[in-house]
Amino acid sequence: MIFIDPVTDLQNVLKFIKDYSETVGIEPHEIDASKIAGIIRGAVSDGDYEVDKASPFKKVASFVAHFIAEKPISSLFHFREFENMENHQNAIVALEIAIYSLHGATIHRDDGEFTLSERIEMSRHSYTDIVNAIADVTPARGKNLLAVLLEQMCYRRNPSCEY
Amino acid sequence: MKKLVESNVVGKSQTVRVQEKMSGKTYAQENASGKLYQPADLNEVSMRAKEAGKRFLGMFKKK
Repeated sequence: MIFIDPVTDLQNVLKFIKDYSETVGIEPHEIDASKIAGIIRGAVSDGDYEVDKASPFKKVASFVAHFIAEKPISSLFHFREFENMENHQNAIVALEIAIYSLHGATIHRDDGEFTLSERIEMSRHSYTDIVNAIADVTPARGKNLLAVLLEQMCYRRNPSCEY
Repeated sequence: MKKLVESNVVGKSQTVRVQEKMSGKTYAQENASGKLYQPADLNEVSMRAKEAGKRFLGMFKKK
């Protein structure tokens, strides 16, 4: 969905946010599309995670970190679990985009190419804890840990892809 | 993958167990590359977004 080209990435992300938000019941008009374009530019040009060489986990972690730090969504999710959690709405949407983007992603290893065919799954408790843990991530702080977390969550469901 | 082996590095009469690295399956993410999933079109994005939203609503109830 992301890291294709800037125009397609923007279309995909805006479509995902719009339809996800409507399904969950938050107001899509409280989404800053210009910030989304900036987030995509920032993630793709992230010097630490050069696009051609980086693993999919690093790529998506860069996107998530830029997304959460830029806070493009101002509408709150009116769910009890998140009511006292600052910036939960951006952490939730970024996490969902990460889960989406890694479901079907490919990993190139020395011994071949492997597809993450199983989607990341987690309990309600883990979901809440992860949203809380990543809600203040920035590109400069927490991005690497986020990449490792997403990688391990994928390997849990796709053990044959681990290396 | 690691294997436990015997060693006497602490003293002649005291055997301790140390871990020895056994394979190249170590942290080497910097050597990896890959591609994130690429949807066929916006309809597919929409479908997956709605599915993700429904899963969220299945886990959490609105106030």
